[in-house]
Amino acid sequence: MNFSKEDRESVTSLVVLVISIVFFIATMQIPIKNNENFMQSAKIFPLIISCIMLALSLIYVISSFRKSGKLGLEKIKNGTISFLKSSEVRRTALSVLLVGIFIFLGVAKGRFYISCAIFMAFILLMYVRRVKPWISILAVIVFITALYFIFHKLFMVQLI
Amino acid sequence: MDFSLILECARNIFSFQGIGLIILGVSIGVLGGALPGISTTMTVALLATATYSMEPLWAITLLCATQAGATYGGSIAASVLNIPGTPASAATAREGYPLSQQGRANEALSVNALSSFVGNTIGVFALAIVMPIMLNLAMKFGPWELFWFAMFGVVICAKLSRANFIKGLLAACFGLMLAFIGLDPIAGTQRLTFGISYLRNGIALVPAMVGLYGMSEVFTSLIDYEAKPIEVKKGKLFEIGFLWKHKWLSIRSAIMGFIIGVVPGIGANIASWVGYDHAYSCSKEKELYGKGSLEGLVGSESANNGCVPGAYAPLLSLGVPGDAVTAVILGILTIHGVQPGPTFLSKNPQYLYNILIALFLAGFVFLFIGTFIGRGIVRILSIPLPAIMSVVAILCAIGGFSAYNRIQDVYVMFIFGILGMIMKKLDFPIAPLLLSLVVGGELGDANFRRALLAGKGSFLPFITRPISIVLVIAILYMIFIEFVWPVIKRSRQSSKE
Repeated sequence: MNFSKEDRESVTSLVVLVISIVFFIATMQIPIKNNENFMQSAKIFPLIISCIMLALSLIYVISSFRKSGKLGLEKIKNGTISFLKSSEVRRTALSVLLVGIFIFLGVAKGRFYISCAIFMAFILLMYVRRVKPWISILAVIVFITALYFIFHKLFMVQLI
Repeated sequence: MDFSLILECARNIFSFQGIGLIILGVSIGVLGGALPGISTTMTVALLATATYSMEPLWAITLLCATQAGATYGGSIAASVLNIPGTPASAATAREGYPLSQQGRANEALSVNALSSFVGNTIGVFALAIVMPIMLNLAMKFGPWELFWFAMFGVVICAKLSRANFIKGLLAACFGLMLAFIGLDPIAGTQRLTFGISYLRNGIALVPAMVGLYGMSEVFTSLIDYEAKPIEVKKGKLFEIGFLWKHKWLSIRSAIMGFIIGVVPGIGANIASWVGYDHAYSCSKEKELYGKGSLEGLVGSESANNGCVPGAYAPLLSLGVPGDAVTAVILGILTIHGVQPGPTFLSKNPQYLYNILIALFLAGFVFLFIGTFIGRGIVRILSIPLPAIMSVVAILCAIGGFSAYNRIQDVYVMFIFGILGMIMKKLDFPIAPLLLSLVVGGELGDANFRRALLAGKGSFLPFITRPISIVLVIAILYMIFIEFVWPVIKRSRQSSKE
């Protein structure tokens, strides 16, 4: 069973509430130095904001649950499972994975321009099917060469 | 005003390098603004890499020109493809696209270019007039007023960012919490670092901005990659007589846009709708609206381009960015070691003169581009979106890295990209988060603490000083209208029933 828009909003509000609680706990742990009083410490403003955030999250939870009605654990469980199986999530995961591989295996491992070329070629060949492959490859070579000269030679950005 | 300094700035800008940078900035801006999915903010953030090796004055010249170009450029895709190149062009799409469908694309493009030029030029003159007043006012600002002004910007941005107000405020609070990460600006206490040593220096602004605006769009576009390519239609040329006929509408809309720009946190997105609405309410041909009204284009384009110079007024006088784009520019200036604030312009007036001249010239450049090269740009827009986004992803990686030459910043950019994508999917606005992240540390937290120190721990000066009172009332009014008024209305209705 899929989440309705209202149900999704309710689940989102619960996640936001959890994030607010995490921030509230984290701000409570900010230390106060020996020579400071509470009102002048580094803790005061983050604490005020985290309290406001917590209050807003509670308002958000209440208002979204008012719209969606009762949302039992069973409904949340089933809705989450069908959401995770949806094509939207698969596509999102694929796009994040593609860019993640490019960033973490290419850029971070010090093969920037080669990984750029592979990434761009892959995207063009996979997503832009109406362009002939040799045109895509040529476009990649021209672009990466230009990129190298502009950023590496001209702007001295030391990504290799 | 120091006229000898103005002349010196003009001489600098009218050099080969100055003119070259303005033409380059406007061209990149027009292209970035025109390409669907690449907003003005994103174009400016991606261009940050190119500015690190420049003098700060040249950097801001390039970024101003890019902003002006991109704000105009958004109208090209909006008119021809019905895809607003930037959110500020949404109102333009409503009238421009029907005109293109009627074979009047070039008429629409010409009116867009001319109206944008008028808007930009009036905005520049208004900025020159308003800045001395703003500077006088800024000198009266203590930490209390600066703090409230920053918070006012954040709240109004949350209110007007097209999502519901609670989501906007939550995004703003989240941005503020992220801004607190690292060593606090007064005593150096470590906050919210969760034991991660990288976070001791706080979240790097440029990678976060590039991630929020650039990488998030890459993810979103790759998800919706099945979008069909769009055909580009042609039409007939040139419409200067029409604009002359509607010169007062254009001027009024530009002034409205400028005023909206001066108020922090609003920006061109709202200005364009206000201008459009003004054109509609003054029109004698209301039946044409939604079916292709050139008047509507005049209103929206004059207003959103008039807004661009306006956004520099709070940035330069108070250090509070007028919109998301100037928030990015503030972040880039900070990397250059330039920190605008109340006393900044009295010591460095050349920044104001440079911005005024650069924006003024940028208007001429985009008028030329729009009038004579517009058709060529329209053809570039037929490049498939995933191809554009693969380029954007690569530029994001470079942009994330090059600010501080740290590979960890690329990871931050990636994480903020995911955060931006999730926020878009769940209808949380990104602009309040970005604005809070930029103003939360130095303007928000540091001024709050300074104010408490100056008041010996008392909160009273926060609500007793005259300017503070005005700002507090404005914030409370917005909260009242959004939260309390609907409850009162509901209870009145139920008591009647």
